[in-house]
Amino acid sequence: MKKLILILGCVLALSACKEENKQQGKEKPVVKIGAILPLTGGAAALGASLKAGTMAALEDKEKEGLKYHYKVVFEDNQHMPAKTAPAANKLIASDKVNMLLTFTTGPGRVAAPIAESAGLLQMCATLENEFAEPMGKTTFFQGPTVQSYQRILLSALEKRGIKKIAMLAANVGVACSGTEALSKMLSQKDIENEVECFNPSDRDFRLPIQKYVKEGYEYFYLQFFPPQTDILVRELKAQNIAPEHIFGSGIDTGSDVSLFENINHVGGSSGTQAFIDRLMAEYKIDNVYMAASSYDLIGLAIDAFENARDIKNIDEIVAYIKAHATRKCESGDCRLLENGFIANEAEWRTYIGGKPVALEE
Amino acid sequence: MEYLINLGILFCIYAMLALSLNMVVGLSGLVSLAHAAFYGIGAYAVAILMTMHGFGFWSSMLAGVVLNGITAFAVGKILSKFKGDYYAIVSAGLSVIVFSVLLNFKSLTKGPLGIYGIGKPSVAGFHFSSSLSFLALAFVFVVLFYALFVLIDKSSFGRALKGLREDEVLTVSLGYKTTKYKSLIFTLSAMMAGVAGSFFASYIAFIDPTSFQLAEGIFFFTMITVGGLSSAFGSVVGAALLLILPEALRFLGLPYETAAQLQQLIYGALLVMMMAFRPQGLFGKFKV
Repeated sequence: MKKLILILGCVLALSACKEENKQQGKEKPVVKIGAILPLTGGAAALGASLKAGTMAALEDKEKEGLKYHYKVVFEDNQHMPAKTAPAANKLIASDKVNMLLTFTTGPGRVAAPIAESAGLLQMCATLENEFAEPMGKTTFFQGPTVQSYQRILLSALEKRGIKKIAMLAANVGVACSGTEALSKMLSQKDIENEVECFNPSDRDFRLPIQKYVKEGYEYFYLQFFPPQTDILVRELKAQNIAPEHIFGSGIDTGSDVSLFENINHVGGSSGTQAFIDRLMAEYKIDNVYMAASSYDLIGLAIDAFENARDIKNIDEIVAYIKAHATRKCESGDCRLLENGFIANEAEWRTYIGGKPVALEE
Repeated sequence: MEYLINLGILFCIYAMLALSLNMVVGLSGLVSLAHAAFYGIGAYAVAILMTMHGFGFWSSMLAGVVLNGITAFAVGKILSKFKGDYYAIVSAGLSVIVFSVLLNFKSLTKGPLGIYGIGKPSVAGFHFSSSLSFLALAFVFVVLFYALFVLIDKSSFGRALKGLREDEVLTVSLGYKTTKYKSLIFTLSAMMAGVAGSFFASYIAFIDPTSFQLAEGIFFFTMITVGGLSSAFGSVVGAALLLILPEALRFLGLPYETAAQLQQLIYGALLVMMMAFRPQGLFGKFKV
């Protein structure tokens, strides 16, 4: 019992050791950004990508010369909405952050009322979907529109003369409902298809693939998160499905990018080739999924803080964002929709030589 | 202060879960992993009835509790035929079934998209919208649950449960219908978990199935194992410890590149050490 108390005592003592004020922080007033990202768990590769986008935005903005010193405090939510609330509360109450950055709709929705009641700005990188309208007055979501995903995929299938495709998706977030919407659209264009949504814990896809192959499906569309993306692509290849016959959305969420050579997919807000190359080299990441979204959102938030007379005046900051959200972004042309969502376009992408490459639609 | 209040709310929700689960596991010796399922049913009842049908918090919570009671009573009838590892496996199966329903019955639960905009409770015109008032309300329920645990622990019902835990054959030979006792305590515990789920849904305002997976059930089981089986105080301490420990690790000032990974490593190591030194838990009266 004494040893236990000793251990707990050590933890509490360590907890009390806060970071000393940095020399830099003393020179200028500090604006703190609290980023709640999936830094561990299945979606950790995506968290690393968004983290890199955030740091790159900070780096670039600092080169422009800023009134304030910006500091990012990262917290992990393992991509779970329920773990987002304590992280947000800690960032607001203890770290005294001036804004929150979140990833995907669920965590964004949990953090929205918390941010609003604290009078803070929240920016959330996500996909547009029926739930991704801004929650409350201080939250903004940004991501590629579903319409752009659909348009790009339809164009790709039509160009290749594909008339039959099996559509497999994870029953996670918008993946399954998005694929079902896509399926309806393809059916209207006389492209025969069948949708199957899998539980997030499913790991063995051999039988479903064999079933589709037996039914004459030669082309596959995938929308999954890691590790399912990687497992599925490996299995499709093992069953002699050529990479050119595999399509997807968010294939670049997979954690082993060497698997995705020549697989075409609709990617989400990865940015220009120069941006991707820079991020991969500078931050040693393989995955750049939505990195451009976090880059854009942090860039816009910094501009809003820099132009506000008072960084605590949330109305002024929100007004600035509304006025400047429609602009040329790293993730394409950003535009503020009527519902307050900052939309950009999806991109048609592949991997060549282990590197993500943008393709002509 | 606001952070501590919010931690307090989560503590109350976990304490409700730990107290209710400890009644089944601690008092009766039945290793149930189905608690996340009942927690989820309670949460979804409130979320669905409040956001889609305009019900108030209390009527929605009552509906969830009743639904849990009916489900648990029916499942309990089946579960009470099992004991030991088999009981754990069958109860885990129930957890998996409920998670799959929450994930796939999209027309009702909205599946992986989750349900948002869940309101707060109100009593006689007073709306528990502030964190402090919500904490006070949740704390009242923790006190009630604690009192109920102590009451059962000291009652003849509790003694029968403990008899069943120590030696089921002997308890049966004394004339006790153990299947009835197993079923009753399981039902009561499930109804209490429904209350905790209702508070969770209302507090967090957005729920999706990921909060009610089997892994959560194992987490609740860990709370009572660390705190101590068959002890009301141990349940509360276990809930506090497993909530505070990962939160305290957020303040370690670890380099941000590795902080999240290191936090989990330290958390796991501390739990391993704790169980190595005190396998019966901090205030445990019984070992599984």
